Amino acid sequence: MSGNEIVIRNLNKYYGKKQALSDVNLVIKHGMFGLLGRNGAGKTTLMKTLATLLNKKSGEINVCGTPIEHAREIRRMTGYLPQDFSMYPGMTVAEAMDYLGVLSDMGGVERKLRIPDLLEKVNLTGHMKKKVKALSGGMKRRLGIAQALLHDPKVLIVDEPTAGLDPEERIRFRNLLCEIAEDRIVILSTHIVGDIEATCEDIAILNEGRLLYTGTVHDLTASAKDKVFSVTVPRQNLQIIKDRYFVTGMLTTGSECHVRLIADQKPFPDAEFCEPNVEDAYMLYLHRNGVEKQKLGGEL
Amino acid sequence: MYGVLFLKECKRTVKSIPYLILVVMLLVFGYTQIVPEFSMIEKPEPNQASYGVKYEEIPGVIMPSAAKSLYSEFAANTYVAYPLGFYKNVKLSDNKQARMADILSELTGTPKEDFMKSAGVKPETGSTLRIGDGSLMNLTPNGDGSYKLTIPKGQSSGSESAGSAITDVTVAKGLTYERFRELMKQADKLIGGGSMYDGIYLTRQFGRVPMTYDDALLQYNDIIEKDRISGAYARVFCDYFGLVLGIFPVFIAVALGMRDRRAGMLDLIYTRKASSIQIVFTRYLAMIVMMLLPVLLMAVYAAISVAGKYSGMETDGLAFVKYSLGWLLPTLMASTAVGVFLTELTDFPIAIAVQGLWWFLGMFAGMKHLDGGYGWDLFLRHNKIGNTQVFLDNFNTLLTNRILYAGLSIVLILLTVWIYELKRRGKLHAYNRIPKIFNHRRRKSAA
Ligand SMILES: Nc1ncnc2c1ncn2[C@@H]1O[C@H](COP(=O)(O)OP(=O)(O)OP(=O)(O)O)[C@@H](O)[C@H]1O
Ligand SMILES: [Mg+2]
Repeated sequence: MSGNEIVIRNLNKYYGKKQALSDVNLVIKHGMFGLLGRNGAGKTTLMKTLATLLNKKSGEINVCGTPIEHAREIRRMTGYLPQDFSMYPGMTVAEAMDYLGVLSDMGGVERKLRIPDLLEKVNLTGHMKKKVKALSGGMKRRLGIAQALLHDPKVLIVDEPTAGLDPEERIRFRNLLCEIAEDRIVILSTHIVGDIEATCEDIAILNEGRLLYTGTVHDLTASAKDKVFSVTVPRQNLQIIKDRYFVTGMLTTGSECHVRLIADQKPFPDAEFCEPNVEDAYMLYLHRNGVEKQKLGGEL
Repeated sequence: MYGVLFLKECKRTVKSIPYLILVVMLLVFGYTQIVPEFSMIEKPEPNQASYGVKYEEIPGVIMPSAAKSLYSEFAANTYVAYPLGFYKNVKLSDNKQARMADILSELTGTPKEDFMKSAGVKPETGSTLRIGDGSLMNLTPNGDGSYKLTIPKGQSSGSESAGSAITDVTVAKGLTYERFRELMKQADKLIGGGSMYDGIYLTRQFGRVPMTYDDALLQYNDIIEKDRISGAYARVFCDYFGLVLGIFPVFIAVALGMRDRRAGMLDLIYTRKASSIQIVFTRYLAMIVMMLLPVLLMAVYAAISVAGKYSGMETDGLAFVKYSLGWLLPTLMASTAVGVFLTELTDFPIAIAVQGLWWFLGMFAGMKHLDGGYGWDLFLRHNKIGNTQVFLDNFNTLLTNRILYAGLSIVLILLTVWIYELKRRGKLHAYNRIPKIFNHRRRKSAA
């Protein structure tokens, strides 16, 4: 068990009778780690458990050599950005950071140096005197990242940080996370495949509390090789294709439809092989593991 | 780190609206109601018409007075009692009235039958009784269980009416004080407890005697020497402020206790390094200190005002501060701790109802020893300037009481720390139960 990774063994978690995590085994290494899964897959549950906010039923978790039960030690080395959060609305950005910094046991000098630095990093320097309630959704998320980094944690856990951000902001955010991940473990959850594709090397796919895949993005994509096709069909045939195959993308021009789909074999003579992307591979994975087509359709 | 966190928590307290209300209340109450009520304590002069009254356990005074009172209550079958501190009119069954007649009979040496006839059996006929000064009164039922007392017109005192009523209640010859206490105990039991005949209240109710010049001088000297004047006022100061501090802090504790969840900030705080004991205790301490500030401010104001009144005489400049810390602080600690604890336990402002009830009960319980005597109340009454000897006589009760409440507060806060840590680790979800109802409603109303 190395001192620089998170090791999860046979993790089980229940909410009352409902099992939210079943036998999760996972090793998370240095760098960006992506946690992918549909709504209700258990991503937040797993992350909260890592952040000592939830109590597991059974299994072992070891964070950089420290068992999760040593909550105080874990808190010292973990930064957490919740999926839903806010701060005292009446406080200014700088005050809120200072308050949380004190709760993180940071000294006065350390706070004075680090807080402007972090706010600069997340591009909030100009808003330091602004009340938290006056921030936009995107600004609030950036403030969220800044507070999670306050005490320079070894492990950073961010739960769907890009939700609700505009495309430009999202790219900035991803880049920021990559930069942060250079010298620590960053665990990022999302159901937006694009975030993962752009930033992570290692990922895990969760579905209904079970781990479907862990490995590199590259291997995941490779597993969908020769399974992705593109075809142009008349518009009226679209429904038949949708019923029969996994459609991962389509573009309608006039009476024609360009469809991107997943199939085990070439579905039509004129279908062309496509280079698979992470999204294709993700859908294929879910499909192979028994997730119904209709359910997936709703996700896209 | 403790210091900085403490200051930040103080700031958070100050910025809450209930706190501002409390400060304004304390200052306005103190400035306009309490300190202006500090009337000058005059040295008694010989040959004054009256020196006031005092209460003493003198059997010769208590026994006849209690017997008369019991008879009049018996005749009307309406007994005043404060079980659990609540005012109550007790009406007894015929059976119990008969037993009460037994007690009265032994008490007065008059046959039981006379008592039965005079009141219990046929209350419709009304009855006459002789009250304290020997004048006669008619007791007529109003039909709703209450009775009207009237002084019969033109009836000279002493003339008997119809012979059915007992007009002169006197204590039986040879009745010892010990036996009298026993009878009173039985009467109290019949009434259901908390009556005027309860041993604790006998003296307070029936031992009223006029003070002599010597008594008054003694009291005055106590105030000058033992209280150094200020103490006599400080107790009244505590009496009033105790009423406020017995209830208001709970609003502040609840508002601040719910704030993290309301602000959506729980997880951000939970995942910080600070220990639960640090967080909970620092917050509690900050609340206590900030709420104590306006009290101390008024204490200083009161001290100055008393010193001004008695210029040329020695006053105790620190008395108000000392009394505030010893007498008021435990009340403040306890009502705050109840708010902190229950809010953490339930995530619901239930503490306001609980503390409200406790305050209400305390109000009534305090009625029984309004000018000293203490007991187990959360806020201790002493609604009389001076009364130094009562204070000194009951000092140990007061001390025990205050230590108990301070201790109780600390225990509640330690429990809060424990609950906080459990919730922080996801081992306890108080909020899962109640707010679901509210979520449901909210969703409905949004639709
Ligand atoms: N406090 C709770 N009590 C009961 N069940 C819960 C609770 N929190 C989550 N669940 C259930 O546990 C499962 C996993 O939830 P979780 O929030 O971990 O999913 P998620 O992957 O984060 O989803 P999303 O993408 O929507 O954030 C869901 O079925 C959810 O309904
Ligand atoms: Mg989630």
